[in-house]
Amino acid sequence: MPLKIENISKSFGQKKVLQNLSLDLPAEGIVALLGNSGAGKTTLLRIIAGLETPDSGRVLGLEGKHISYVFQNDRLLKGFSALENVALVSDRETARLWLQNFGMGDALDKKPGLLSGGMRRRVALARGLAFAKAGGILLLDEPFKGLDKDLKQRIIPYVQKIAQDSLVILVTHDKKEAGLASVNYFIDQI
Amino acid sequence: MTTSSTTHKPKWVSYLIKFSLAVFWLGLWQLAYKLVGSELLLPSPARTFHRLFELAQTGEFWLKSFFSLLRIMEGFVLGLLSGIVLGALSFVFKPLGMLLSPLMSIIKSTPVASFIILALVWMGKNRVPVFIALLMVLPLIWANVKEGIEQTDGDLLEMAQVFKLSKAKKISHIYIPAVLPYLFAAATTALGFAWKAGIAAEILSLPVKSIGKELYHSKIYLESVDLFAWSAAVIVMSILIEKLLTFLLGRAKSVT
Repeated sequence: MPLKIENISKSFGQKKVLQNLSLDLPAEGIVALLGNSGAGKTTLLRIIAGLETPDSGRVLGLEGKHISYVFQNDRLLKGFSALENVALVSDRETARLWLQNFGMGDALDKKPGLLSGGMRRRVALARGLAFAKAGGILLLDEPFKGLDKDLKQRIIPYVQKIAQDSLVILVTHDKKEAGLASVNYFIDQI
Repeated sequence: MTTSSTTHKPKWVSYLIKFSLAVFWLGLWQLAYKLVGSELLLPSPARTFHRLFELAQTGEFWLKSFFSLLRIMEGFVLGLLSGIVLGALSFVFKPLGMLLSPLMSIIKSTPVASFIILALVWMGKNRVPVFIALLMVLPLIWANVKEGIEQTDGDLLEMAQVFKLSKAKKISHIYIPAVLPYLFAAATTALGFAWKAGIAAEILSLPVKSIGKELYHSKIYLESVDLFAWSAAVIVMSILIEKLLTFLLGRAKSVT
């Protein structure tokens, strides 16, 4: 079932972040949200994830949808190893596989404090992708921030695979990354 | 290219500094004793430690110390547990937090002697130090547990919401690690308060087999040397308990 965003508005105090935004999003595939900082891209993801309530408007087609999220910041549990962080949302074997896919096989037992920024990002990505389910929605908020080109190339096919039977909403500033998407929305121009 | 270096003092230097500080203060004490010139007003360090050594060779000393420790630790543990439970409940049920807030403020600002006298009316003399230690610990732990929960990282709570973590996992993986630093700091401070107030309660309530009773007797019979020796024992025990608690908390921290 496609996702329909109808006339959504959201303000934080005096700051209007989203104003009567309407979008039609497909049930599958990658949709990129682009726009300047503060345009409301993250706010829209948060509304879809149920972390914010719009002041007005609604999102149709969310009923029963499984939602996974790679946040803009990693949000890892610092007392837990890379493997344990991913295993929070999946079984241990799946978690191990995802981390190995992302080149983290040697750092499974390391806690976030001992990982580089890029490694922490990969753990967050592994957690988000491990939690994604067919027919669901995967929200990616600047997912490749801090990753080098090779790592991006390594991870992108997995995102594309998920997008074959799920909706992937990708927030990015990078036009090259947006090239992965079948639809691009410039959110501050809508 | 720039290089950075940090200097770490060797262990023996830090021991030497501590030893020198001890020598300085003992020297000052000795000097003050010489100036005062009366064992009654200010006993000498040598006489005090000699008396402490004598006391430590008797079974009574250890028995009294043990019972004082037991009473105060009972109060500390009860205060710790009730502070944790009430702190958590006050976060969950805001009206309870509002209800308890003035009570905790009153407990914190009321002179401990008032509570001791009141407790003497309410309960048996052996329970007074337990109750007083509990009162010293409870408001500190309550406030810090509540604060720790309130300061829990909202980003992590959102993460838990998105990934549908169970309540039990939220508590054990997010709330408890957030509260522990607050709890550890409060527990260490509270222990010192409990120990001092507990001994004060013993002095006024005179429970059987207690350090407080010995301190009281030394005051009555003007045995300043005994007063100093027992006080030294209290200080040593306080340091040892604090070290033990720090060690236990360090272990708990490494596990979480």
